[in-house]
Order: sequence, then C-alpha cells, then structure tokens
Amino acid sequence: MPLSKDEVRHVAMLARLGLEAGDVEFYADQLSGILAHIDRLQQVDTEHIAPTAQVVEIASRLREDEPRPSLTQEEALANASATVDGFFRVPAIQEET
Amino acid sequence: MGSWEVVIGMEVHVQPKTKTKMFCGCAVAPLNAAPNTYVCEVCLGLPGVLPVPNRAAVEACLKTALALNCDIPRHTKFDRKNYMYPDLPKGYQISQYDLPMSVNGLLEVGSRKVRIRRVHLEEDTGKLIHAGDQLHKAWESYVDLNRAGVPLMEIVSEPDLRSADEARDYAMELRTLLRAIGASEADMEKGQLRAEPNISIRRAGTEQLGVKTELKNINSFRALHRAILYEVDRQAKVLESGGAVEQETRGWSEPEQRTFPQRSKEYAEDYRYFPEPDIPPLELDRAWIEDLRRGLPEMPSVRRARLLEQLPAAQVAVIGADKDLADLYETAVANGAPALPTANWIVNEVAPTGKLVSPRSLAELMKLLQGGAVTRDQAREVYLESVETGRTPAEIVAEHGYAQLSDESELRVLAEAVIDANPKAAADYRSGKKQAMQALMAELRKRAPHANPKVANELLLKLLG
Amino acid sequence: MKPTYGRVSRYGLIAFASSLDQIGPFARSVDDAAITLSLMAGFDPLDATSSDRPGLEVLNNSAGGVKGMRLGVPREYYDVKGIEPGVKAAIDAALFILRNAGAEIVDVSLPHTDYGLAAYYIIAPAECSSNLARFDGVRYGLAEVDAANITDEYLQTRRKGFGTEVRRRVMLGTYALSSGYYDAYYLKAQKVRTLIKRDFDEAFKKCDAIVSATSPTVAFPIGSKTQDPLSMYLCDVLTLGGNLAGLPGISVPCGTSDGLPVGLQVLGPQWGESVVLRVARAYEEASEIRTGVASPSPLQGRG
Repeated sequence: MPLSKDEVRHVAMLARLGLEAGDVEFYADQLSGILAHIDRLQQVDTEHIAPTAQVVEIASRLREDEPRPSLTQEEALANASATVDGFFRVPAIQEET
Repeated sequence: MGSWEVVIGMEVHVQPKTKTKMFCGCAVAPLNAAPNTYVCEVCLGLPGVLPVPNRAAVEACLKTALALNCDIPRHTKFDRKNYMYPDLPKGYQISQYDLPMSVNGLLEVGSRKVRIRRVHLEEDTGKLIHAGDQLHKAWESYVDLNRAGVPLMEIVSEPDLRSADEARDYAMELRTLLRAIGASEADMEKGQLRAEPNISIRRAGTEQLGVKTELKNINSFRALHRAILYEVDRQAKVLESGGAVEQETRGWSEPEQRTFPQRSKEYAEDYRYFPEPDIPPLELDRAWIEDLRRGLPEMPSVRRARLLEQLPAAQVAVIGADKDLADLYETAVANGAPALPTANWIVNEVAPTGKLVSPRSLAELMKLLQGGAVTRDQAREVYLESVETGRTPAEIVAEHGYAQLSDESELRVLAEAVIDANPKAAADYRSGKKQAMQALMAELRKRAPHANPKVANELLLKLLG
Repeated sequence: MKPTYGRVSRYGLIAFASSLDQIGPFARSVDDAAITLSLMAGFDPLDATSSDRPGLEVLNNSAGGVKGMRLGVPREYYDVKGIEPGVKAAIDAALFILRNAGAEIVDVSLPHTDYGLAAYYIIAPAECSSNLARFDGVRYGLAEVDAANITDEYLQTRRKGFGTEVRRRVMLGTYALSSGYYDAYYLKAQKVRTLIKRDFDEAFKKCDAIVSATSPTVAFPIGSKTQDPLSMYLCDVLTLGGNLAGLPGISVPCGTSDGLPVGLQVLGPQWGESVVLRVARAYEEASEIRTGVASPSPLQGRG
C-alpha cells in the first residue's frame, strides 16, 4: 500500500529525521515501491507459527552483580558537542503542542 | 454535591538493591555524586556496546513478584521502548512489554485486596536539570547520566484503591514488604520508590470508569496523600462545573501544593516496542524460582498478626512496618527483654532515629532499666553510646558509674542530709503540703543524679513520716 | 565468510541489525579465513548473544575434502529470478568440479525463498532504526548545537549525518514498527523468519551443505541502482535466507561473467562452519582458482 505524504511526515518525526525539499516525495515514492514488494508477506499463512526474535538457542545470560570501573567525567564528556560543569548541554526541551 | 467514588491504580517504580546498574558494571551512584561520573560506554550508549542483564536485579524482581503472590511465567524477555529524549542515551529504553517477569499478584492493604497486574524490570533514564529550573521556560537543559541504566522494577496495580488513604497505605505496605525481603531500600526521599497514582472519579454506584490522570513528581508518602486529595478535588470541580477531565500526566508541585499539566496525551508517543535482540530470552527455571521462594523471609502480614498477639495495635503499627525494628524487637524479647517496655522503647527511642543496637544489647539495657539499675535518661545515653561504640550496655554503665544508687544505707545518709539542709520544705511536708516532696526530691537528685528515684522517695517518706 | 549468529562477539561492532549482525573475516584463501575465524570466535561476557562454543572447532577437519559429502542445490536458488546466464554457467562449472571431487549433488528445496527479501527488509531496517537512534548529537558525533530546541537539533543533526540509504532504512524500519503496522510487518516478518529457518532445517536433513551462487548478478556500477532500491536489494536474495536463519556461509570466487567475478556460496547448518570451510576449501583446491586468488598481497614485502 502506498505511503501518503502525511504518513511520511509522521514517520520522519518519529525517527527524528529532518525533511528537506523533495524528501517527502522521495520517501513516499521509494518506500511505497519497497512496501509493494514487502506486501507479499501477507500471502504467507503464519497462523500457527511462532515469531523468531532470536535465531540461535542461547538463553538466560546473566551477569554477576560486580562493579567494573566507570569512565572519568572527562572521558565521558570528551566527545560531546556541548558541556557545562560536568553535564552534557542540550538546547531547550520544548514539548510538542 | 453528590458523592464521588475515587478509583486509583498505582504504578510504582522501585530501585532494587544492587551494587551495579541493570546492564553494565557501573556502580549505582550515590545521591550526591558529581554528574556523569558513574557512567561507562554501555550506559552512555556509545556505538558498538551491548547490554548484559544483572542477575541480582533479576532475582530482586523475582523475589518481589513471589512476595506479591504473582504468577511467574516459564520465560520472559526484554523489549525496546523507542523514543528520543536527552535523558535516554540509546534512543530506547530496555523494558518489558508483553512477557513481563510476572503477572497476576495480590497485596492486602488493611481490608483491601489490591490486585497486582504485573511486575517487570527495566532501566532508569538519566537526570535533566533545566536552566531556570522549569522545563517549559528553560532555554537549555543539562544532562547527568549517572542514573541512566540503574535497574528499576515497575509494579503495576489494578485500579483497586478507593481513597488517598488507601493509596498511601498501599505504597507504605509495598515499602515494608520490599525491605522485609531485602529487594530494595525503598526510600522515597532518595527516589528508590516512586509512586505514580492513576486517578479517576465516578458517581458512587456506577461501574463505568472515569477519565484518569496520572500524577508524577511525588517524593513522600505525605505528598502522595495530598496530591491525590488535591487531584480528586480538582476532578470533581471540573465535572461538577460541566467540564470533562482530560487524560493527561500531571506533576505535583510540592511548594504550591497543587497538580499541574505535564504532558498531554494529545501528542501520544508511539513507542514502537519490539523484542530486544541483544538479550537472549530468560528461562525462569522452576528450581531457581523455588530456591528464591524458599529464601524469602516471613511476610510482614504474617509477622504483624503474630506481633498483635503480644502487643497493642499502636506499637505493632510501628514495629510491624519495618523489618529491622521487628527483628530487633523479637530477638531482644527472645533474649529475655520484657515485651511491652521493649516495644515502647523501640517505638519512642529507636524508630524516630533509626539507630539500632544488637538485640542482645537492647535486651541487656531493658533489663537494667527494669531492674532500676539505670534511670530512663541514663538508659537513653547508654543506648546512644552503645550504638556509636558497639560496646554492651553493661560495660558502658560500669565505666560511667552510671549504675543507679539503690543502696539503702547510702541513700539514707543522703536523704537525711537533704532534710537537714531544707528544714522549711521538711516542715511543710509534715504539715500536710505534700507537694513539698518535689522540692526535696529535686534537691536529692541534684546531689546524686544517679540515685534510684523510687528508693530515694520511699526513704524520704519514711524519714518524714 | 559469515559465521553462525553468535559465533563472534558483536561487542565493539557498530550495530546495524542486531539479530542479524555477525562479524566474519575477509581473506585471500579459505585457510586464512578459517584460521582468522578460529581466533575471532568464542564467548564474550560483554555480548549476551555470543556462544560459548570453542572457537577452534571451526577448524575441525576443514581440510578433509568433499568426498562422500552431500551438497544440496536448492532449486529456488538455482533458478532464481533474474539470474544472469554467465553466473549460472559459472555455478554449473563449480558443481561439476565438486562432483568430480567426490561430492554427491542433491536437489533440495527452500519453499519460502520468495519471502526472504521481504522479511529481511522489514527486520533489518526496523532494528537499524532503533540502533541508530543513539546518534543524536548529544554525547558524541555530529551535532547541530545551535538549533532552537532539542527536537530541531535531532532533526537537523540526523538529516545531515545520515546518507540516503541509511535514511531510507531508518524510515522503512520506523514505519514497520509504528503503531498499527507492527503486526502486519514486523511480527509477520518474524513469523516468516521462522518458516525460512524451518526450510533450512528440512534441507539440512538431506544434505551436509548448500551450494549456490552468492548473487544472481555480477557487481553493478556504483550508484547505478540508488534510484531503484528494490532492484539493488534483489541482488541479496541468495544470501538473505542464510542470514535470517543465522547460518554460517562463505563466498569463494568461481570464475567470471562478463569479466566480473562470480561467487560460489556455501551454507552450512548453525555451528557448521567447519563443514562450510571444508567444502569451500575443497572447491578452491579442485578448481585451481586458489593460485590466482591467493596471489601475494600488494602490501606484502613492504615492511
């Protein structure tokens, strides 16, 4: 089923991908093409089939509760674009309205 | 106005007692830690890192589930909850969606049976500090990821609570239970227990649930109680003036003592849950579960019932709510301490300070106090010193010469001296002014603070009689 | 070579699709690939999905030859839609060589092959969309720090930092997981993944390893298919199934078509790297391609 431009905008917002001129049309066209192929999945009868989330049989891997060294604050912040007094700094967090 | 029925369900986040975070070896940060000093490549969400679940967190969650009478499935898994926010380093939170660690539990709070929908495990987010302290006015914010990745159990109840009192009691009972089984310190002020009530109201006698609001930012049991009272009142006013309650998340403002809208469901996030591919499913082996079940201590409700056979309800309310106090009481009594005086001592002297001695020491002290060897004031000092030094009350009493003066021949000399030095008071007493005895006793205590007041009083009476 | 999912720790590997990602060696000979893999493999406490099988087991009898082995040729792979005649000819030649070396060639079937691409292009982009969410410009990497608010910062940073194909996959994956589509796409793809894995389980009852072309076509010029992603994705149709089933596989050169190299793919059952390596090595030896492939590296002798 083809993707509408509104759906493209909604998905781009969910993915936090900015849209530039032509992007909406580009994604609408390309994703619709791929989805047209993907829709063949609906032909497969999966009524009594369990989903596979993990393909090899490994289970119950737990770690013992033993501390390992953390990074220093300097190391933790070393690659950040903006920091203030040991914190990462981010622009205003505006709630969407 | 016509009566409203209050309907409350609780979502409670509890930090299990672990040394390290949920998915990495970072130590859990103390409250006053400098920002971003308890972080590593895993909890910072650097490229290429992978989560490995903490056994202690899983076991704390399973123990909690067992204590809440939950069903524990044969396997469980983690899922990713996807949303981007600056306190969430990976852009998703590892949580549990459709196969939680446990379901269908029950907690009795007073006479109310509260059904537990689920108990699951997830990771905490980081902490945001907003320039100017308010999110909506902040021009920028600061991110501390010390808390990011700290384990959290989420305990979700069905909407079975019917008042602010019940909701508060439910949260307190959870705290008691969590501490009793050693699953969490559950200190609300430290954020180790965060209660988020979902509140709606409906006309008494009707079935249909009203529109609910969820309250956040509640830091104490008192705030929980007040926030619910406020919110119920607010909703009633909205409905009574012909309005409609909006489904939303509201914050509790402690300084203003009111709730305010935080996040509207209008912009509903789409969390795109899917199974966490980096963590294999957990097989909840029955032998493991049974081991954990066997390791559980007596449940607080059972213990409370037993305490009620020995003590009045007021004392049980305090002692039965705290595993450490109840342990102290019961072991001290087993060591020969008198029941009610010991209970009173714990209620009045131990509970308010939280300073504990060994049950053996408490038993010793209670016997000294009861036998009249020390005064109550002295006993208090001995207690505190025993807490600090770990030495036994008998040692401390001996060293300070605290032991009460109960020897009659010595006390008689003292009493005679007091009477000689205060002829007026003595005469007053003899002429019928009984209150003059107080002055004489005060004088005696001034000369010998460690005098046994009972024996001294009897001697004075005898000498003046 | 792609090992069994879980054979090599993924810790340190920038994640694309976590349930599919697996690190494998590129080498100039099968022996080199085998030795390298044996050293890369093994349990890592930092990767909960890594296997605790000993890495050295991949070398078991890997030089044992194919005599007496049964090699399955899936008809859905042999006659895959769009296979170039030159590719098919090269594979026919390879099968001939393997038969001469003592292998028995048997027919097998992978009935859900037609759905592999669709399942893969839901699962991989979905996981990718989540894995790439961490690239938000806050803790590291490119950042549009002057944005008016955090949402704009995310939008601008990620639009700028990700290339066309990455953005396409993030969009596709986000869509597939989004409310209302999860069951139809992601969950459905995971169920089809189960069927694809079962196909292989059945096939491996009849054969020791599966052989086919690695791709139906030879390499296409860079950029020639960016406007038609589906045709580009279709080049992966023969390798996706093994990836979805978590199988070990290797591609060894088996001649050319139109002057461009053709790959022979050998797939084994899970944890059957030694079988895969054994078949690939036997082919390499019998085909005498080895001498040409394993010519000295241009870097050799400089140090």
